[in-house]
Amino acid sequence: MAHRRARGQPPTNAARPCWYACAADVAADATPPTDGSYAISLSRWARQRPRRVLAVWLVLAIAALVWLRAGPRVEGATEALLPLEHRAPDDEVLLLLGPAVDRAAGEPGDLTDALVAAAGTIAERMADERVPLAPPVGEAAGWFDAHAMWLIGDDALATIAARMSDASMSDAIGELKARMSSPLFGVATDEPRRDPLRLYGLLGAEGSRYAAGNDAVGGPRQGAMPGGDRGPGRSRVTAAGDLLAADGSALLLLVRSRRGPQVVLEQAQRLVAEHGVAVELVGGPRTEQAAATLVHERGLQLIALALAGVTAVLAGVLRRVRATLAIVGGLATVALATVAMLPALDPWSVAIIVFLLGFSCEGALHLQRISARGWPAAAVLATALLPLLLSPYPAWQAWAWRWPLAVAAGMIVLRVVLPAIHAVVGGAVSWEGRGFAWRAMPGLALFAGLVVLAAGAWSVSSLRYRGADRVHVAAVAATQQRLIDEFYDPAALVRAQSRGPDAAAALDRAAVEGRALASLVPGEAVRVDGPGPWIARREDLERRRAALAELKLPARLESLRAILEARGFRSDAFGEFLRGAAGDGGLPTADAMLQGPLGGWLRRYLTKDGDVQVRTFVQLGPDVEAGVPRVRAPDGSGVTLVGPAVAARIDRQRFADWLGIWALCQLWLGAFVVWLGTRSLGVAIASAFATLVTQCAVLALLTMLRVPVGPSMVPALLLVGASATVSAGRACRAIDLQRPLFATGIVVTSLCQLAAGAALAASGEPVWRPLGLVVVVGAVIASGTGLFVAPGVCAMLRRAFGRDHAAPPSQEAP
Amino acid sequence: MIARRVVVFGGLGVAALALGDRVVSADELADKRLQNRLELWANYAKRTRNLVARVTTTRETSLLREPLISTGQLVFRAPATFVLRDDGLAGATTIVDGDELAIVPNGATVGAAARGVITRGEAPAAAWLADHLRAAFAPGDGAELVADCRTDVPRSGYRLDLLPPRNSSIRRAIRSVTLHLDPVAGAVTEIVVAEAQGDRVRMQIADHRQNLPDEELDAILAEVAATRQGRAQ
Repeated sequence: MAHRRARGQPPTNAARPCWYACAADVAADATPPTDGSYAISLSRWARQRPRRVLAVWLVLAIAALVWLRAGPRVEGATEALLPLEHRAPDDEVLLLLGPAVDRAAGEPGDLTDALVAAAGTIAERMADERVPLAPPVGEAAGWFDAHAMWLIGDDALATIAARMSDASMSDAIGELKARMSSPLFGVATDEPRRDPLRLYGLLGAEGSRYAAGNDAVGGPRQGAMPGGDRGPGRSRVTAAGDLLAADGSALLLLVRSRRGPQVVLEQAQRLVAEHGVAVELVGGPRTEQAAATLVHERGLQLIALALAGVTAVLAGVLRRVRATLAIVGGLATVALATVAMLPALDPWSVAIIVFLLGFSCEGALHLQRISARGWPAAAVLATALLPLLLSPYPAWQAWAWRWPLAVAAGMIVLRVVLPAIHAVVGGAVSWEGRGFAWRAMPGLALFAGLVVLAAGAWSVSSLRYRGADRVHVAAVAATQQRLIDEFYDPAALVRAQSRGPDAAAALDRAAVEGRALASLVPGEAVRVDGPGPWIARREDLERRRAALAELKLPARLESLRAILEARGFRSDAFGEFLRGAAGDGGLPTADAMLQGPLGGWLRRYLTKDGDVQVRTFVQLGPDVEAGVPRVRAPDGSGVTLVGPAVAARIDRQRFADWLGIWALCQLWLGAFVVWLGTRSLGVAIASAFATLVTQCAVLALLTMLRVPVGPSMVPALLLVGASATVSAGRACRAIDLQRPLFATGIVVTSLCQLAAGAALAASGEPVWRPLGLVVVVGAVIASGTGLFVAPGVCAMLRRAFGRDHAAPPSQEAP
Repeated sequence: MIARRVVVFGGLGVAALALGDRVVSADELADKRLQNRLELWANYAKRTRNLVARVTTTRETSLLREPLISTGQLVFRAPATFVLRDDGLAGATTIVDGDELAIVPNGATVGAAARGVITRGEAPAAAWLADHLRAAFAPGDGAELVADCRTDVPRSGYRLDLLPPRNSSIRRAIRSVTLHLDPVAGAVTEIVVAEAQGDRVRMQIADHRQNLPDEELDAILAEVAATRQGRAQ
């Protein structure tokens, strides 16, 4: 490393190497230079009116404290990175019932009975809000049996018709009697009373549409008995339509309410207390609540930890108590003001405020300056998140404009209040003569840069993606995993919305779209959950009526009755089948279902928003790399799926491209600002190159560490890019002007950023840890590329194209 | 007064101790009866490499006007093959072979035979029953026979009741399986399956022939295999 100390060179007053605009500069700045470069100086202005500045600062800080006296409003905001239309329904509350902690150990069967009784109490007392998760077993089977001939498809009807000849029915009844001699007959899947001819087995995949448990665990149940009690996952459906875990130790219940999850939970807890049963929230609301609790309990703690880290760095480097406390005080008020200005504090805001603490140090430590006035570095940082205005993530879109305001506030506080504090209490630090003469190393720079760029290009194709549809909070990880293992994964549940002017029309539309969605099983979806398949389309009813008339069902069924009697069966024992097949149950219309015993279950799917909408839920397959299923209804119209998993799949497909666009935008903005500050194209290009190298290096490292990259990390990636732009701009400027390079200045700003990142990384929370990791890694790489890569590139450009700007002004500060 | 309290509480304490002792004794007694039954059962089963017996199956069900009675053959070959084969084309063959379960009508065509396969995951009660029927004839110390179930040993007779676990879905299909043992040899002579929906299946087993030559058993199982394939239409 070729460098030499520059202690011997006497710096001019204007070029005094202070870490920040210090009190010692007052005399130097008192007389503005003749070239006008100090025409407006915030620090000079502050030094001239220190007490007024401090008074205003204190008043604003106290106002922020008073504003926040009751604590900031806290939100979980676990779906804040999802577009609004893809967020989960906000009125659904999943409750998981399990044994109370103080419940005496008894027979497991007693617990199951207690859970079912507790669910019954909730259903009775919250009758308007509790909705079945699956069609209640008895009612569903009854509905299907009564309307099977109207619901099944034309092909299935033809198959069934072929099985209703005298010979076929006689064979089927003979087979039934033969099978009855087996001890396994009564406990196998046969339900002779419902289906003596084993017709449902002929329905194949169509029959399994009417079984709730058509899922990934057991695979699609070809020929399953429609309306059976098997639920999604390993669960089974209770008589009331709730889901019971396979071991009977937990019960899942759904409430649709606008009262809020906590209110619903508290009421449910009161209702089930007498049964020795505990209730907890699961699914989205639980994660949301856990995230809010996390922010409430650890948000301010994390901000304080980051501030402590920055304090340690500053104390270690500055070795001055007053200077350190002044900077930390300034940063604390910036954080306080930002929290006060936010509509609500959420996990994403906490992370950004922690970053603000680390990156705002730049305002106090702008040594080496990129330009004489020291604004380019601040501008580069402030514009770092602007590209996120183009992103589809609402939370980051909001921070794209909040961040420049917060950085501006930070810069103003640190460049105005800090000199004022030092003017009053003293303690400013001066670093006269501590710079190094740095020599650019073009060969090393080019080699290192190209290697890293190649690694970056490789890593982009190997990136592991983590979508915004799943926000992991450690406190609820076990509960959420149990929900997935025993029942289903709510994050994989997406929905189609069928609209109509009234419920009947919307249900008619749902019947059409539901059948189209059913074709996704088992390839792209594991389960389609909606009322569509249970309702016959209006236009099909007349056609089916004619088809059934051709079958001469009453005569066929009389023949079957005779066969049964001849074989020794009691034909009345098969009345359930004989009545249903005769079509005595009426038509399976939307109105009939709404008025019938399945009306309560149907409420789960009905919503009203101007038009009436019917939701059909689709549980997508476990292959997260698959695209969004494309579904077309028979009339040619597309069926649009929305939901967190859809948003994640769409985002996965374009994430790498968009990440490149956001990074390039940030790179361009940073380079433009550097060019504006230096009017040197070489420095701007070198800074842009260093930014690109830094981001490539971070991505390559994340790939090697097998850390998934996703929307939550984007701001961190852009911020480390900005950090690299600033480092590179400073180093290039120093070498370009042949001035001593204050490498410590670059390193210490990176250390402050690293301290902020380390606070997040050390939190241990899955929602914050990756963000912190990116900044820790990125801050180190940014200072490295700034010192070792950018100057070399700049020097190469100089050699190739010569200097592109006038000689440096002699008054320019370092 | 104090003396009376001492007497009352002292008496209650002694009674509680005595009752506790009786409860412990009852549990021990039940365990002992179970051990006795399993020893008796194992006395015959432990020697079984294969077994062929005559079986008369009676199903009492509300679907039929009269109980369905069928006769046939019970075949077991260690370690995991158990077959109940009715006589004649009007009956069926129940096959438990490893993890495979099937009820195949003896006169079944190829398609009907394929429809007879029972998927274990779809019918846990059938899987449980099949496993315990097979275990009733398999050699061993009885651990497999009483696995995954509760047991009851009635005081009278040489019987062993196997009850499904309370918290399982099996309980909703099967109430109990009762094995009747020969009081001298320990062979299973009758199995009664009480189904939850009210049907009752009684299998009376006679003419036990243990450890037949392999050729004879192969011939029987070859017929079973042919039935399993189904008849060409």
